[in-house]
Amino acid sequence: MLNDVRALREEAGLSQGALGALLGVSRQTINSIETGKYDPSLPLAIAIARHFATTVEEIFHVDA
Amino acid sequence: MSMPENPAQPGPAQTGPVQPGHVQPGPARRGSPSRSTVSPKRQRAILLATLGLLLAIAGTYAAFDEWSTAAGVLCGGGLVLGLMWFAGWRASSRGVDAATAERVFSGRGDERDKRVYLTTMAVVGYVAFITAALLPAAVNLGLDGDVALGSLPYLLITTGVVTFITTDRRT
Repeated sequence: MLNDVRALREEAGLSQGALGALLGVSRQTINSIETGKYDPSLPLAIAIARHFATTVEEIFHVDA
Repeated sequence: MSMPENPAQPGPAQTGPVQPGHVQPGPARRGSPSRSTVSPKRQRAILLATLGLLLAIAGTYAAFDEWSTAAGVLCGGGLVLGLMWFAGWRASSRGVDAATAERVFSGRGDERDKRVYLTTMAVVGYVAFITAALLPAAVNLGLDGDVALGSLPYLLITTGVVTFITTDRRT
């Protein structure tokens, strides 16, 4: 699923490992989400949205 | 019943849809909705309980003079427990650089690690099911029974390793 996690993370000046540590997941999970290989669970998607002070719909986009 | 003038604007009770920018940033999370919640203390307890079970099984075989089987149980089971402990140690010492396998087999996996593990187990189970159906037919057609049974664990282990690596790279 396309998403803006990488853009939001870089805007916040965070590394993948740092963001993963804040969210309680591994760096690999963050990388997989950013590259679209892995779709996060609903709790994790909500946690990502809350961290960046936005909504799930603003970050994750259903593939066209 | 009174309705708010703008249904999209949530009232004090936050009952309406949340507008972008109205969400408060979350604090740094000590817990996680995605990571295993088994504490290190409980993990140690599980390892010790498994070690106790291993010793009990080996002792049972030894009580019936099955010394070679007891030794095999201790060697094989001890090796597995040692690898699990090593995986846990590496996962905790490497932190964010820990590999998927290290996190999974030390009980510190997150949701993606769990998916990789469950996919691997599903494929191994599927192969085991198919093999269980095909091996008797192969034996009836002339395959040596000892060879068939002896190769089965290696087949399943190889399937598990290949599936784990492939799933980890693709997920």
